[in-house]
Amino acid sequence: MSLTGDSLDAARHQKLYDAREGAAGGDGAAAGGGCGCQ
Amino acid sequence: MRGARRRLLAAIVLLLATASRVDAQGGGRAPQPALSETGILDALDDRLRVESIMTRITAFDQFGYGYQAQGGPLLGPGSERATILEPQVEIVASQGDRLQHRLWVPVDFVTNASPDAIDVVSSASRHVQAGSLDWASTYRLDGATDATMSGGLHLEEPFRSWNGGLGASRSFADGDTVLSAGVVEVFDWFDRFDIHGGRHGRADRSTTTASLGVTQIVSPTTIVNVNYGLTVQRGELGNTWNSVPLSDDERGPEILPGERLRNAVVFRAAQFLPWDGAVHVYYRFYLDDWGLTAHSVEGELLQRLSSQLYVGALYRFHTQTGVDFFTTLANPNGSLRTADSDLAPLDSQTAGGKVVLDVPTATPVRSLHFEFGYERYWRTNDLHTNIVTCATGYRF
Repeated sequence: MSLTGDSLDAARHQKLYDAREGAAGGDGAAAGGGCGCQ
Repeated sequence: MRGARRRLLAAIVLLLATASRVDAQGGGRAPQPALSETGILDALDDRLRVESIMTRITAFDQFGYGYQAQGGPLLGPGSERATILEPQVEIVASQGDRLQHRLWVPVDFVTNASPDAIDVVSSASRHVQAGSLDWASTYRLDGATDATMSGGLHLEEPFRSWNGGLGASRSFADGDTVLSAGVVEVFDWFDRFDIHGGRHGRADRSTTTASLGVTQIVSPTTIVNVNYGLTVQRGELGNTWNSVPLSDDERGPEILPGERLRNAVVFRAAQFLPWDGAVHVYYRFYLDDWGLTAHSVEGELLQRLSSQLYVGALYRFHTQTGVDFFTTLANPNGSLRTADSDLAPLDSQTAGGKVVLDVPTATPVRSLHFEFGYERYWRTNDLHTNIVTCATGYRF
């Protein structure tokens, strides 16, 4: 049983939210940076 | 099944080696030392073995307005209209019994209406292509401990970024409990523009994230995870071209602090349901020193319809306070200011669904994966996005 599901699906959700909201992080990935949209 | 295949491969190699020796002896050359089965299997195990190839393409059709954009009235919100096409590919491969590699390549093709100041002058950046190359390798140190090393780069006109990370996890209680920790460093290097589109050298930004988590199997049908992340960002923390309407009937540049400290705690749980279903729940609490506090809640329900087909439904709610210095009309003499709609007080929601088909096949491909999904994302401050996603994959 997986907590996060498909990693590509999780990645596109993370980018959608990180680029459009002021909050990020808490899931092991960097909170911000790495892209011109963030 | 794997053992039988290994024995078959070893037998074939031994047969070829024996034939080669007979041929060599017949040719009058010195006899070669015999190949051991263990040595042949070790050599086979060290080869790269692809476990899965997954692809996904997602299209975003975004509508909305934000005060940081200049594609509207002088002191009013500008258009945030954008279309984005986002292909991704992921290859997972193992090398022996201890080493696993993950190669991930996401690409973005973005067509903006007017969010960039650069567009005001030249329209040159209305079409942006961006791509990343990320590679992570996980090495199993022993039966309970894994170590992971990752690295990647991101290219985007006029933006460059590098990242690297180290992580480790250790399981306890026969794997029922897993502790994990990691550090990720991201360095961004990009062109600095003013709000009129003029270029003024380079700017940079550093992002350092440390995280600590624990995953617990609560029962045969329940698993939970808690993870904390602390991030420190330093440098130019804006895109440099965002503008702010000023009370003297002009627009001025965004002025942000040079540092940001961000805290986030995430709770996840997955629960099997007795009617061939499963539910995933997610909650995040976020707090930073710019004054932004946020709560995000998400639930996903999965229902199996047959051995090969299942459907899913997702809903997410997010609420955030704005940063302390958010404004839509700033004092020209103020020290800090932003009109970025992403940093405003807002609520957002996501709702959607997907259909997933996993078809078992004969070797070498163990199964084929197909997925189609649709979601709608909308915010209370005038932004909404329609999202269509499609995935295909091979598991070997």
